[in-house]
Amino acid sequence: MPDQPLLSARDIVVDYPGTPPVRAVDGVSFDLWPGEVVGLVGESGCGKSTMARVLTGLIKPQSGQVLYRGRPLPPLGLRGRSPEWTGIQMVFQDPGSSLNPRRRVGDQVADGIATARLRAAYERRQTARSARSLTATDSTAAPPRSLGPEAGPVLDPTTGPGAYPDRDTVAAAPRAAGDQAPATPEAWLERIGLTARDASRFPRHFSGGQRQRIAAARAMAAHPNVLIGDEPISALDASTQAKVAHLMCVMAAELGTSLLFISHDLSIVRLVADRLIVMYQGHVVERGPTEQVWSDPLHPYTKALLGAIPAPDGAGRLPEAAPPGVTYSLTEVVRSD
Amino acid sequence: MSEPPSDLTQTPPTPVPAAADRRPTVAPASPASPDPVSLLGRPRRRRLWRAIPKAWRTPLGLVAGVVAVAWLVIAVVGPSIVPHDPLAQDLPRFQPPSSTAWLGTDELGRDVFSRVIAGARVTILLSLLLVCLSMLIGSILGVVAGFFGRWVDEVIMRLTDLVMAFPTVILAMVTAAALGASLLNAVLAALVVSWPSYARVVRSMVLSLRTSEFVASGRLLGFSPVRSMRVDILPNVAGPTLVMASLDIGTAALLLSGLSFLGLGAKPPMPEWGSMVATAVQNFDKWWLGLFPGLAILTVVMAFNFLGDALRDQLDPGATKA
Ligand SMILES: Nc1ncnc2c1ncn2[C@@H]1O[C@H](COP(=O)(O)OP(=O)(O)OP(=O)(O)O)[C@@H](O)[C@H]1O
Ligand SMILES: [Mg+2]
Repeated sequence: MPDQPLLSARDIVVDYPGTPPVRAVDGVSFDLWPGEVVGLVGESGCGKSTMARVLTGLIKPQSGQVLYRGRPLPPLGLRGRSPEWTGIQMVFQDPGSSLNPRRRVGDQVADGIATARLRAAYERRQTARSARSLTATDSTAAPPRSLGPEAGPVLDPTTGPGAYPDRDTVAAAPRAAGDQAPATPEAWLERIGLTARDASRFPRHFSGGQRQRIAAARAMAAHPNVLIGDEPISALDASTQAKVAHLMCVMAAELGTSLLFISHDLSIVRLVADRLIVMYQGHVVERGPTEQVWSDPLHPYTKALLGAIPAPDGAGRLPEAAPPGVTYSLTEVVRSD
Repeated sequence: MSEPPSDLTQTPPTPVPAAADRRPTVAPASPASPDPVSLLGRPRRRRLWRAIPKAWRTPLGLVAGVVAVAWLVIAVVGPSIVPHDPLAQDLPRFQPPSSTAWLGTDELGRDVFSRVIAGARVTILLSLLLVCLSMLIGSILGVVAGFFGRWVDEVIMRLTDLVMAFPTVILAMVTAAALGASLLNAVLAALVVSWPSYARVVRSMVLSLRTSEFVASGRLLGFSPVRSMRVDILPNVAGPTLVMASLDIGTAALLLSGLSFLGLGAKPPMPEWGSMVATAVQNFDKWWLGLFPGLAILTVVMAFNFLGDALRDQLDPGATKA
């Protein structure tokens, strides 16, 4: 069992400029452990995207710290990001702008592969260096992930509607990290259910769901240790949502990537996440194993959020997470068991 | 190690539609005409027709294309096909159009037709030069401003504000007058007034692209700023900027001949449309003196404007793929 979290947020506070400044995130802390899938849920505007951008270093928090393998993550400034930090990747919300409209999708996926190569080389150098020097104190450099020379067995991402990965079987499958990973853009595209010929096409030739899958493939091609999905499926229709969520989870499981899956839709997150973190107005109000939070929500806001999910009997209660005028406590409930 | 505060956090100021208000408004290309393919009938013609990009298959686009190409050809080969030496003063003065001087002769007995043809080179090539230079300078400054932000951005943008606070023609006149009357100085003067619109548009595009999601994805993949600029940002800026430039060619021609008309550009013996119109104004009853150079300016300006429109329709990815 790993002894330190892969990515941890410590008391993150983010203000957006304004008069008065908008406090989007107010003292959020959580850890992401290797290989787990965590769902971050909450209503629109509660600060989920802001949190995602902080965790990737795209914005610098007012206070607080993001630690990646125990080391503070430098915010992305004018300089380029060193391979040390490219283990954190993100898939964005909007299929319309998650890919460069003027580049062939094959080239964009190839960027992810190049990133994986660069980082593998970097980590090899790091391990070689720490092996040479006896005084090495940096134990954070993990062994490099080998890049599979060719595409491994292709898992079908379209195994019927609503087919979510069975986490246990996926986890039980032998996975020498990266062995199954495709190594060419064409193989990646085939891996996500497109054809090799699609590599030479432009993003405008694809549907929203296909674009999100391509964006996910580009991020996964970089063999990230952490993949953050900022509502990667919320702009898609229901059946496509299932496919993309399924695909992301299977790919993450194959590569041993930790997944932070952000959504305002608890019903999908429940099916993919090991743990849930519930955010409300910039605060974490509840967290715990998915099944516990699902079956026994403690915080009134979580209860309201669960109540907003249309009942399976088709009675169709309207989604209305926070009725207007109702406010909830911002203190986190603590699970005693 | 001190990290620079994240530049990706800035919200881009709303883009200022800078160029639009400075350019004479151009009628949009007419909506697609009824498919002329059926009128042409024969398969070879049909193939030719298909070779033309879709956005150009409008009557206006086609006519503009033909006229513009014709003027470009004239600008290149013009001086060697003229019937008379455009500078020779050997014909009778003020002759109306006839079979010897097709468009008449001017106050010094020079052939107007030859001068109009020879003038194409001066006006068109200088307009192209002017547009290329102002696009280049404006885009570089715009990219620098959008990329570095902070005080660099501030300085460049205040400079554009300063230039754009003056009416274009008047500022160009003042500059040309200060530099001294010559065609090259007229181009420089026009350059002074025409780069800021490019700088502004390019800067606002760079700013909004820099915060866009695919650029952020690229940065997370470890793209250096230069790579990000070259691969993700500039290709998305290039199309709109080229369209803007092509729409600007007509305006540039107008500005340059305007300066020559005012005596701030071409010097006397040189065949230049603006200065030809200026002499025509002094001899108002000799209609052929002003009409033909005027028509030349009009057709060049309109052809390039419609061409720019067609180009915009073609390059706009949203419009090409419905
Ligand atoms: N660039 C910005 N400038 C000012 N305020 C912002 C900015 N971005 C977000 N906010 C504010 O910060 C708060 C949190 O925004 P955020 O985008 O993180 O929400 P979210 O949980 O991702 O919502 P959604 O589910 O709609 O994506 C919101 O109240 C929003 O108005
Ligand atoms: Mg969001």
